[in-house]
Amino acid sequence: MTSTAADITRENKNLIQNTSGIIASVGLNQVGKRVAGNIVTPATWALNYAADGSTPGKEDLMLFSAGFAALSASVVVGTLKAVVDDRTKRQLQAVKQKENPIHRKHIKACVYLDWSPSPITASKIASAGGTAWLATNGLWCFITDAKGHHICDYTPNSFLKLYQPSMPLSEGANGGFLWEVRKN
Amino acid sequence: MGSSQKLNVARSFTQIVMLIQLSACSPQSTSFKTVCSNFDELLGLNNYSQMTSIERNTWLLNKSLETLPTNDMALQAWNAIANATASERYELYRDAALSTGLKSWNCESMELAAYEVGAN
Repeated sequence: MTSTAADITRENKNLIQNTSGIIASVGLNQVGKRVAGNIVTPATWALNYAADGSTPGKEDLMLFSAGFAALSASVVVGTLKAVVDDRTKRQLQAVKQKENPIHRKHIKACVYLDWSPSPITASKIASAGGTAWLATNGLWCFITDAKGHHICDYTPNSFLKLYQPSMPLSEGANGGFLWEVRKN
Repeated sequence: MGSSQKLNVARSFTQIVMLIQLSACSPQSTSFKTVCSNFDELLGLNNYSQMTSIERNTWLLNKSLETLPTNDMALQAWNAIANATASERYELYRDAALSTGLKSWNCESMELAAYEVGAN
């Protein structure tokens, strides 16, 4: 019997969840109650959703969503889709092909999210607790969970630059998170 | 409402629309220059060395908000980049400025001290 991507994910969920769950929980303890202005999802939550549809508990969500109400990615994703040109679509498709199939449909181009130039949008995403990266084909991308919340600890298979919150998650200025740049 | 009052209202409305259009057309270079000149001013403060990097960042943002709208791209870029790793901030901000279409951009005071102005 052939294993589907969902089966493989389900079978490996605990291993993956333990690893990133530790990171996420350490981060949450450090973050405290008043920090996370934006709704952020650790990769493990997104993975759970993909594997069995389970979502984070109310207490976890409270910790992540406490603070000022900021726009989650889902609110604005889609607004600019109509103006994204074919070249961007082709680039995005190429980026998706390099990533795990279960993540592909949640990878978007930064130009979908904001009118700012993509490097600025990527900085805003990282400061809001999400992950954004410059792909090898020059496209700035970001990833959300199925509900459109930013994912704080996703590592793409391929990137030139990666903007991502520092772990453990720590309070930055103005309701944001401290973040860092990784270069390949 | 009399005809002169209607005329005044119409004039006011036109002026507001013109102001909005003017602000929308402001080149990004002006915004990035404003943030840079505010950075110059920050470094010149007598108590600069006594301030924490968070206090300096708060001063810079408040000063910039005196002349720039909250949705200004240069201001939003700094707001996000202030949370980045200290040593990366200047390069990130320069990239942000250049991404708006500017052919060149540099800010000596920011290059010198961006690492000590921000969230950490």
